[in-house]
Amino acid sequence: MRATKRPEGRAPQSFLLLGLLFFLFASPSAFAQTNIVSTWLAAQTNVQSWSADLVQTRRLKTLAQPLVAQGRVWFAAPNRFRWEIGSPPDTIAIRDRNQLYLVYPRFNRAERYPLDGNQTGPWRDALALLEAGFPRSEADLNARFHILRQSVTNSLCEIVLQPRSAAARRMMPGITIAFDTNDFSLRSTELQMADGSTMRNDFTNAVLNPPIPESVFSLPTTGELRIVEPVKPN
Amino acid sequence: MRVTRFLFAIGLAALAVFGLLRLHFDVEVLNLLPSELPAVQGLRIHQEHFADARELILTIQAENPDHAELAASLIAEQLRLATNLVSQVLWQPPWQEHPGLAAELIAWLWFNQPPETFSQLTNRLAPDHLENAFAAARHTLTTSLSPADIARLTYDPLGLTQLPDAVAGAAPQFGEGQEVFSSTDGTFRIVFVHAAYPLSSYVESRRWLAAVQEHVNRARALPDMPDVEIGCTGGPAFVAEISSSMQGDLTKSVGGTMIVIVLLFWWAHRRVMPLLWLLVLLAVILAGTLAIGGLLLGNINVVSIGFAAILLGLAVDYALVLYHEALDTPDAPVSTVRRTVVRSIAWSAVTTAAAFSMLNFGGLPGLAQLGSLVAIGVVLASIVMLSWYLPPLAGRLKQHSAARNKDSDHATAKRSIAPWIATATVAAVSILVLAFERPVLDHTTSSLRPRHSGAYTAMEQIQSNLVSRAEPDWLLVSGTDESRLAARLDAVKPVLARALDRNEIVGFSLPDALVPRIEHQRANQSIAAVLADRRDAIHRAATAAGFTEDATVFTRNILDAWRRAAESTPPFWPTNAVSDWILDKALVRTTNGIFALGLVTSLTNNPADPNASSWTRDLPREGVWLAGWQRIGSDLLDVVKRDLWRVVIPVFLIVFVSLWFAFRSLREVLLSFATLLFSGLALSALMAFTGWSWNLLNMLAVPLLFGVGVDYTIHMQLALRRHNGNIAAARRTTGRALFLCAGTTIAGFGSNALSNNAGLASLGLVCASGIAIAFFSAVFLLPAWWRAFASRGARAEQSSSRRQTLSAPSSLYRPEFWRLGFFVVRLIPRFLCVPLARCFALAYWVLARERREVVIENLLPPCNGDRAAAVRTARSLYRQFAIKIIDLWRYEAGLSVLDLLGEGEGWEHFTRARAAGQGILLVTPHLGNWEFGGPWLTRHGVTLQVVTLAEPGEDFTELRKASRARWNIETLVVGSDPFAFLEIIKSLESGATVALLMDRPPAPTAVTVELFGRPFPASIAVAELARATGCVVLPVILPRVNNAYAAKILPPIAYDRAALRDRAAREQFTQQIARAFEPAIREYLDQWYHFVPIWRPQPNPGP
Repeated sequence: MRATKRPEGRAPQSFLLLGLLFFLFASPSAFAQTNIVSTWLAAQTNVQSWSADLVQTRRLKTLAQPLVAQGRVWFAAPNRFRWEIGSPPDTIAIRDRNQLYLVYPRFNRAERYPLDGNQTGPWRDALALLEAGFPRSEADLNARFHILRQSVTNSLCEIVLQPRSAAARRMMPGITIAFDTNDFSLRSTELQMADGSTMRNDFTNAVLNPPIPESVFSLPTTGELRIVEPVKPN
Repeated sequence: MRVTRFLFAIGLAALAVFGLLRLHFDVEVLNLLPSELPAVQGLRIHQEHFADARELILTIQAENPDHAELAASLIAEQLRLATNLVSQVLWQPPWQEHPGLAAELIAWLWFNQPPETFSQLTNRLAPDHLENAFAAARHTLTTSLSPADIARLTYDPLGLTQLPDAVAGAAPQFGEGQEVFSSTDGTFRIVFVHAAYPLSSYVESRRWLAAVQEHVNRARALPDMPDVEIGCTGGPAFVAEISSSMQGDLTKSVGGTMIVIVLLFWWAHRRVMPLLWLLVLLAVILAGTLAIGGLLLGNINVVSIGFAAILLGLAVDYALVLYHEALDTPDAPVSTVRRTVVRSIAWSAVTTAAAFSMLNFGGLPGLAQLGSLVAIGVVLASIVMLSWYLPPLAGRLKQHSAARNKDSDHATAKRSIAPWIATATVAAVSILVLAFERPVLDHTTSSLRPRHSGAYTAMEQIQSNLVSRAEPDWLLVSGTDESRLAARLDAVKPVLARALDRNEIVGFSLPDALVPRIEHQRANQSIAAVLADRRDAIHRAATAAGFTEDATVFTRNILDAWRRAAESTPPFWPTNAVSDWILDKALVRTTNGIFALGLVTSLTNNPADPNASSWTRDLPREGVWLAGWQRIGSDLLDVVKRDLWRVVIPVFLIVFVSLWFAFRSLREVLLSFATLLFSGLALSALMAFTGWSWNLLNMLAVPLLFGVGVDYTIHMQLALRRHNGNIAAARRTTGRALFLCAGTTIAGFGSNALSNNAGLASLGLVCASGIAIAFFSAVFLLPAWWRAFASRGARAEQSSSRRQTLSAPSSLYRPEFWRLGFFVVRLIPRFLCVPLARCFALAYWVLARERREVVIENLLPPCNGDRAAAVRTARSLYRQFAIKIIDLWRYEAGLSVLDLLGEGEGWEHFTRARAAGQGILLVTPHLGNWEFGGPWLTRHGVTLQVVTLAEPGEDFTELRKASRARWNIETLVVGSDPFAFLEIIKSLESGATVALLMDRPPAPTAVTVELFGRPFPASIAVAELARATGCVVLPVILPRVNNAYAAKILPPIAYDRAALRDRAAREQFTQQIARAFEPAIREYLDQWYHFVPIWRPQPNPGP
């Protein structure tokens, strides 16, 4: 057997997924099933870009009170996004095609994670869930999730999804996605973790297909940004 | 007597049963390898300490990662239910299932740091810093998008899992670990299953594995279980698999050989009883060899298991030779048949056993054991077959022989050019093939591995799925204690770093950070105590910052571990299950010290690449081993190539000596070697053509083929001699027998080609092919060569050489040997010399068969033709001669022999003769120690003159003359010239006493008399001297009686001097003297020393 040593990484695996799945808050969720889901899926084909303000609420098992942060999200089909948490942002996440950057402006530091499409473990599951927010087809959504239940209350449709992947399911039993039944705009996402923690994104001021400058999905050019590559997202 | 035999048989049977019970399968492949090789030592250390014999590894291959993970988890859950079977089942890193347990290892790694590093924690965890620390953690948890940060800070808000870089690089990483259990694409996973109890034997391993597999099958039957492929490997799997395949190999090879033996025997003889009896004896031989092997060796390994088939193939030859001989001489009693072939069987057994024994010098213990077992078995087989095979068949042989002779063809001495065409064709094709391609040399260790192995396949799957780069080598470092181990690791690390910088290796990993640094721990104990005391403060600060109890569980566990560390005596080791699991992979503590396991990934796995190992020269010599299966291949090959000559040269010498003894003809010896070389050429071509390669094990086929193949050339050339060069007759008789022998031997070796062990299979294949080629060359090509090059010379050389050899004294009767004898008797006391000489005599009896036969033939007439009595007497004669020669050397070396002189008889005859004033001629045969007559007479005041022939070599005569002169004895040397007797006549006329040997005279003085009813050459010189001088002729002997030599003087032989003018009267007088000696010779027959033929041919009885 090989020895169990690797040069990087510090936290227990279970902890890693908790954090990783945070990304799912940023994701417009997957809808399917029956007419409303089909309609929502059809509407997704019109989404070329999307932006919104957000309030992120993290209810962690190890904290007595929820943690709340303000932020903003931009999305461009097929899979580019930018997340800013904090105002001014403490953390920025940028996905530009096959690269993911986590930028810490206060420390002039960026972490680069190459994404080659063959990710496994938490990174693979997280990215798969991110893409689930904008499924290309109903079959694509069904390949990744079971739809456990759906409900409509006051023009708000909530769909509870369960990942088909046993590994993802073990760490993240469910995702709840809420959208407006009138305009099919994404209102919120909530991830349930295996330890009972949840992470919720509430979106406001959403704009469909806004013009988004390329610079949004690029690394900030101001300051001397130091880029490191801490660990490959296997 | 019967009771004694019965008890002996019972004892032997008990010993055999004990030996068989003691025997067990040694499934450890490392035991096949030379233990003195450092790489083997390294592998052994790894095997003993790091390869857990109780750990089974299940491999799971699925179409997608989810299926693999689900299957792994279900199988693990199922196996965990079997608590009586397994103690631990891991399908994912243990710290994922029990994160809290990882705290102890984290605490220990901190505690092991230099004090200046560890003491930094006192600032970070200072009470007045805690509020800010928790606030920072909370802020990061609020805003971070990093999965790693969120994961860590959720349960480790103070960031204690962030170890210093030096440790983080080497210590287990808690954010990862899946790479140990899963391939990068997740479709391949492994599950570690630890046995609940020690698996001390292969039987236990097999039982345990079967039980585990039953549980795995139950898991497979679960409704949620996806369709996956499951394999198993690891210690118990290897042990169970190898032991099963060894049993299978034994059964297959023995069964296959037995079938071939049955078919060949039936084809040749079509007789049931001889065949059944043969099979029974083969079973006895096999069991006996296993029993002796059990007693001497205790175990049998994966290669030596092949001995059984080889032994059967060889052992059956002895029975075939006996059976053929018995059929050829159906009227002869069994003892006669046995006597006829005992020499060839014994020599064949000795040479074969010697050739196989030489494998002990081949550098590979595995093959050495095979060689020893075959050697033991071959010797046992020769004894068993000679003793037991024919007696029960004696009554049927005549009937079998009649049937066989009826079927046999008449041989014709027809010449054919076919062998020459075949010779030219085979040689040309072989050279052509070898010109284009030669057999390659396999540098790897693949020959040590099984050919079909689920366990190896699973291990290779792990290798290809979980190890992304080339297979790493193991770097094993030992130390008697923690400090010494740390020092050695510190010395190794720069060497590896330099090799990495110079791109000589791809990477390395050392567990240096996991070795307790005692000086650090001592210094850190007070710091640890301070930190542990901050438990309550940390808890208060965490609560104030909004963290729950859960958030600080991990931190509190670390503080508890530091508390224990502060209160313990260094070295402090972590002890919980997660720590053990991680540390056991890299460090092992034994009673002899501590071993650390590092990994080094080389640029290439090609062991022949010299650059691959150049950096290893810088490694410390002591306590450091670099080992790996790929690396060991070239090292082993070097050993085999080095030691091959230690096998080949002795085998060559044995073969040469055997050939010389068999032929005593240089041409035939050279023809035998030519046949072997021709066979070697053809075998090489066959190997090149079929793509077989030479490897660690089959290289040792060369000496084996040399030793076994030469037998065919011996038998065939001797047959050609017997049949006066009639090739057809030689082939019909000996060729047919050789066909059976070669067929069974090929079957014996060839059945090992079915073995699951790749090396044994290749050895079997090469040997079987080589023997087939050697047989073909010896039986079909050699006869033509022999007739062209050796037939006339061989016949001439054979007869003249034999005659010359046997009619001359032994080549040992020479001055050099005589002087060596003087040296020995002067150096060693007589009571030691005598047994030593008896040993030499015994060896001479065994080895010099023709000389022994001469002695027996000489003794037959006095024994009235009773051969058994002659043999018994001859044996006694050899023993007596051993004593005589020692006493003679002592006498001639000038040592005192007075205590060896007895009183004697018949002295009155001598005094009476002296009183007459005449010369006295003492006549004696070669009986007793006649030389002692000189000192005996000297003691009685008589001066003696001794008449002798010239000894072989001038200085030898002088040497012996000088010895006699010490006792005032004069030596009169005569040759074949009768005039030399003038001096003796003069002495006798002057009244001197002269001694003369009357038997074995030189040809000019020899006349034929009758002794014991047979024509016997005796010296007429006595009669001539009597006629010339009128001396008194006194027969005298000096036998050894009661440990002393005493002269027995017989009454004088009366004669009429005048009548002796007639030659017939002189011959009659000689006859009279000879007859006077008959009773004395018969009485002391075992002291009548003649080692050359003494009897003249019997006259033809006439028509």
